[in-house]
Amino acid sequence: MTLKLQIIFLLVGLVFFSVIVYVIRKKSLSPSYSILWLVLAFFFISIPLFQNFYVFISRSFFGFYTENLIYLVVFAFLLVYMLFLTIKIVRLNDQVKELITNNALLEKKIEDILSNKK
Amino acid sequence: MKILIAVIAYNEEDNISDVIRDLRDNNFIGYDIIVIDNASTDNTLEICRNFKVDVLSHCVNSDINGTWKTYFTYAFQNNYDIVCQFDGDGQHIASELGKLIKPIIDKKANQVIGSRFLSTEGFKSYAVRRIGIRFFSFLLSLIIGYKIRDVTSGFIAFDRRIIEFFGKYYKHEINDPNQTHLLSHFSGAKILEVPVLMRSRSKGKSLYGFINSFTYPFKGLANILGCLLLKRQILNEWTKKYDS
Repeated sequence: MTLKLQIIFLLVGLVFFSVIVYVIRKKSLSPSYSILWLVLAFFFISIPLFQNFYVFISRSFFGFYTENLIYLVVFAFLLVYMLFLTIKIVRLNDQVKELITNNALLEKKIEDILSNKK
Repeated sequence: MKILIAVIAYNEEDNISDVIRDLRDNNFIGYDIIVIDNASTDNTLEICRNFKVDVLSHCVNSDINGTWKTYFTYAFQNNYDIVCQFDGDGQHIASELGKLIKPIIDKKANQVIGSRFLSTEGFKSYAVRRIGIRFFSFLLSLIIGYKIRDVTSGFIAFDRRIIEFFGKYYKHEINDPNQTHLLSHFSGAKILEVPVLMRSRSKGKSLYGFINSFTYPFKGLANILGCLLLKRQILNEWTKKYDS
């Protein structure tokens, strides 16, 4: 892996890490959701620091270049995270629909009670 | 026997008063009427209030499937024996309601679909839409084992069995009528189609716009696939228990 690429990975990791810390502080991202993003940021930072380890893994287990292994890991991570978020959205969607229904039913009950009092 | 007519309305200020009048004038069966207002931004809600008709009003718009959830839950909680979906756009005719309700009272079916295609008269939908309907009709009939022609009809009546299924057990999203038919079938319901007359929408705008007509086939197929994946679960968790 070239030195230029190592510096890019390090910089991307550091900038990404800073952005995540910033959005957590601004309460735009809850800590439970930030864990996976922090893992990704640390992964980027770790590439130049543990370069030999990644080279060893990619050559001995997969038999291809380290860069390809890194892209594969990032791609797999994003796929899994997108699936996780989609599941969350579907659950939220169901919950919102449930709330809309319950709200409409409660509103009707209140109206019925109030009209009976009159 | 308690019968509920659930009128689905979203921005139907031009049509809703005629629909309510039609339902009231033809109420020979003695049904209750409830309007499900899907957070209309026009005067639909005010018009319903002026007519002193019962309304379940959504605080935010929740697509067409949210309205199904609301009326099924309401019908379940208030112990209705039959619930009939009726569009607020004026396409459905109140005097045709008897045709949908009778087979349920006679215990010939659990779900009755009012079909435009079994009748020789009346509005039959637009040409492009008819192709899509025919395709999904073929697919659904293949899965269910008997022919259903008007798969997208919103003029449907359900008996207590299906009211309990959708009002109590199946709380997830229902995106289109195909899904309702399949889920009902898996829940052990017998579906019947009867010929009814329908009108074309004279005023207002349809929910199914230009973009929707392109995305609908893909969504429809995904919904059918999703239902098939749920079949075993529904059979084990609901159908067998209900029948025993």
